Amino acid sequence: MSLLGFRGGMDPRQNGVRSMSLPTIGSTSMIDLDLLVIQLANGLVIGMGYTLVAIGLTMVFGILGVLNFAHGEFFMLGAFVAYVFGELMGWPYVVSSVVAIVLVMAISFLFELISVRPFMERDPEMTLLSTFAASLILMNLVEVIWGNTPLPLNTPFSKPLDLLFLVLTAQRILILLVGAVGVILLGLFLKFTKMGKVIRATAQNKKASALVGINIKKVYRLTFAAGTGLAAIAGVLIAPLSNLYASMGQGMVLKGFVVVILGGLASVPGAILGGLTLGITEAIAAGYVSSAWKDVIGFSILIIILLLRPQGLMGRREA
Amino acid sequence: MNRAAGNRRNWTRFLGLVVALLLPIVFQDAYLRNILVIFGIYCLLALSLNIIVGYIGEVSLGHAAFFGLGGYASAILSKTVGFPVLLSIPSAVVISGILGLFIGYLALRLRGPYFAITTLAFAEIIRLIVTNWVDLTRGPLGFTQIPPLVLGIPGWFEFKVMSELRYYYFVLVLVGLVFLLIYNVVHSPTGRTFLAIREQEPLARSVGISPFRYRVLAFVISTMIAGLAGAAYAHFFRIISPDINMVYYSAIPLMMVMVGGRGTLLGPFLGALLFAVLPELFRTAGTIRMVFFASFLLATIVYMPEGIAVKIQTFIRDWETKKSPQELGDV
Amino acid sequence: MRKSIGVGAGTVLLGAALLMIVPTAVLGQTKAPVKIGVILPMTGPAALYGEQANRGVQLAAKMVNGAGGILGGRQVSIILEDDQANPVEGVNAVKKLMNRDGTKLITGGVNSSVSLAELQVTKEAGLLHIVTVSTAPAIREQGHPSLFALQPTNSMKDDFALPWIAQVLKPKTVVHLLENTDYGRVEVEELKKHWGASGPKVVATETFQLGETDFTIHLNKFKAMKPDLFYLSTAAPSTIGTILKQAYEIGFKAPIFLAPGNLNNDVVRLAGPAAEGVLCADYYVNILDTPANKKFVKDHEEMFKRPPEKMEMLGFESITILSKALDMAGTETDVKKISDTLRQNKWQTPRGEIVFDAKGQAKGVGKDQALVVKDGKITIRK
Repeated sequence: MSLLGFRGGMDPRQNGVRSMSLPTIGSTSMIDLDLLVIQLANGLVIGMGYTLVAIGLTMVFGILGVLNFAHGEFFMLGAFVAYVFGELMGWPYVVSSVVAIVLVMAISFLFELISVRPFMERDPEMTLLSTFAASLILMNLVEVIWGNTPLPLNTPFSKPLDLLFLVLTAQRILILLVGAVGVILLGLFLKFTKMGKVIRATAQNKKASALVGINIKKVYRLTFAAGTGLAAIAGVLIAPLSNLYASMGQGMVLKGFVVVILGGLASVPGAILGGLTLGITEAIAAGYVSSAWKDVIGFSILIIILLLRPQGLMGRREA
Repeated sequence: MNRAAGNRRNWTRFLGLVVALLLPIVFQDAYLRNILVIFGIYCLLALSLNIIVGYIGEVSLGHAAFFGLGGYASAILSKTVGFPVLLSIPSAVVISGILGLFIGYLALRLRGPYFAITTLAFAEIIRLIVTNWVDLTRGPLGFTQIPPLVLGIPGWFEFKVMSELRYYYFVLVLVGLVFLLIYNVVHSPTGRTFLAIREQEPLARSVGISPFRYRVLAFVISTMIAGLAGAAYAHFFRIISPDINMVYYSAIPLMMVMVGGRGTLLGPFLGALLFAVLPELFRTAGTIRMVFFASFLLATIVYMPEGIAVKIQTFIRDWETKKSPQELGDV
Repeated sequence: MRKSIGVGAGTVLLGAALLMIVPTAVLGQTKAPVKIGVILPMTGPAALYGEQANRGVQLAAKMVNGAGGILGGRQVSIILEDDQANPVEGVNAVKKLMNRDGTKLITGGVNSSVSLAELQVTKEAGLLHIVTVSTAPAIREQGHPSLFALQPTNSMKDDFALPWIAQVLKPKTVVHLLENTDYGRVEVEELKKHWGASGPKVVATETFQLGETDFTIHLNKFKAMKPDLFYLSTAAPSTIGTILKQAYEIGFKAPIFLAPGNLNNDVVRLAGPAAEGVLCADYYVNILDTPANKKFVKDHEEMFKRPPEKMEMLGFESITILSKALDMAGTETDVKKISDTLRQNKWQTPRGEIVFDAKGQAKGVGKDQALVVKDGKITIRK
């Protein structure tokens, strides 16, 4: 008997959880264990989404020194562009997703040109407001075009899969897989390729890098595109889980901030760890306390972290 | 301060006051008067945020929290708890101030984007609490039948401030008081201290000023005014919903202050005119409105970051300089 | 020379005078239209329902005007305002309609909170207020002398649906998921009331906050209990769609009954294959086989190239009934007379015949139907 039984349809009389030969302490404890496993799995999945968003955010901050308030909108745009190709034009999900990611990266070029570049020389602090304004423009523009009613994004990976301890749809597993692969690829890129080394150099010391002839502007653009690309990937993966709506980026970017600060600014490993941790914490809270308050947890963590180490985070970044 | 310019300024302000007093007579239409009241409330909101953005010099993205809190506090105190509105409004102001003290004390240790994120996070927490504590606030259903403002002593005489006309004058009084407060603070030693902290912090510190304390003080004043605006809103519309805590109500005053001219006394009024009155007159849908506003804000940041009011002041000063070299305007 | 100018001027003046008088008499098109205010959520979270109701409104106006108008051949003019599902905007809209447009006839309202806010203003100003969609019982309990509500309240709808479930489906155990609002909580009471001790047993009750998107924790708890029926009390199609999808995705296959009035084609569209077999009940479906309904459906399809649903029907009803009442009362400003006319008569609409009770609640003589989704379409379940 294979450990992972992939089956399309489910017998309606079966439980969501398969009990193994574990000692039965009492029916309630068995249900609690089931719930715990389910919540951990859910938490891991959503945590991977947070990670993808946070990596982009932290890279942009690390290299450009800009905290992009519109980062969530690229998450949202990824999903909406995929919707246009997938639902409105009938293309297959995978194709629409890839197209969406590429298009969003292209949009980010434009975005960087308008909202970030003018200020990099003059007054980087203004990027706070400029990216905030840009996020409002993008979000409301999307709402003007597609309205405020939640839209569906269908995926061929929605069939439930019967795993050892629980039932998950393939989509959720896909999120974990793609996320993990993406992160590994990014790590390899940064460590071993020439461009990756250039980026790391710029992150360490901009002036020195410029002095040795690195094209800083190109590095900026590339980093920005990579960061938003990751956000778009998260968007196309997560949107099928529930619905699309124009303001879905707002919540995501806040969680992204939480992760970035939790894991340490400009730290990609920090973003990974932080994202997964936040996802799991929220899921457990949702399961044992209440769903409504799970967001409060994330923000409270953010505030506590920001305040416990004000010295470390307070100094202005070196140019 | 230069005599002639100062006199001119005072005359302009006096004129402005007269115009404001007479406006409802020009606009007899109840709907237009409705807009005037909204304008007044937004002026309060913009004036309050201006303290943080203009005088402390930080961008707060969570101002809606205090606006909404003030509104809900006064609504709940007057309807559920049974306070007379004359008492619930000041109480709401105090509650906003207390929350402002708490948040300001924690958030003002940080600067720039970190401060902004913290304010945003706090605002989200408050929004979630208001939305989910359904037993207290009725959550997404909205809190309705808020009692109107009644001046006077029950049993003796009662003066209901409910119609657009009366409420407009009520709000005008509030705006006037707040304006006087800010004006006096700005032109007092305390005001100069704020200026010193904003412009030359190490120097200020070296003479023994604690910038942190002053910033928190300013923050608290700002949040109290925002709470007042919220309470005024609640007792005029007599319904309030969690929408009031959304980013929209943090973004709009921010735009008013940035585009109008932060750090000036005139700026918030210009901003309120631009962002509150015009759209109501044209009744465009909220989303398209926001696209224009946000684009406008972006353009302003790029091309005119100091804001309209400052541009006007610079213009007038240049004009004055052309007139007679020895008459130079003040900052 | 002067004389000819005088004659010329005189002719021109006479001609102008004639031009003014004659066409008015002949064409009759300069008669002032009868203005009716319609306040609906055209943007924001309820925009879908607002658009649907508006279609019904526009169709009704077209029909009424095409038949010659009312009050002596005057055309009905619909003034549409967007309340954005926000109570404050609703209040602003009422004020604008009242003051700028000068009408005393206010219709519309999808979100109960918006209608509640609006009716305070219409009550104080003595306006006629027809509530098109909002269902909160509180709306009917405000002692408003000129308010009329078209939809049955949820309690009224449950009066059919819950006994039907007990008698026809006969589930032994039921799990109940509800939104954390007045609506949801009333539903809990309704289940107790109708099922009591001898009916189906509610073995689990779970509440969620509006705006929640992940229901797997509740659904997994339910699934573990293996109930005979899953009863869902929430209204927003997107939420229902998500819940149905997620139930499907975790393999929770108990039959699902949506609280009455909540099944529409948007739910079917959003839930996709997960909607198959879902049950509900409603007092109106567009496949109702009556001459009035068939005509309504045909006219709607002709004008909008799509079939109408409940919201369109309600919008249509609001303007049709109001126009007839205005015509019968012979006035557009005497609100008391119009209200009396509305209360004293029976009204024929696509869903059957309705009368208004003393509180302004519309009571239909038509029947509620049980519904089921079969092959992606909403059909009547026998």
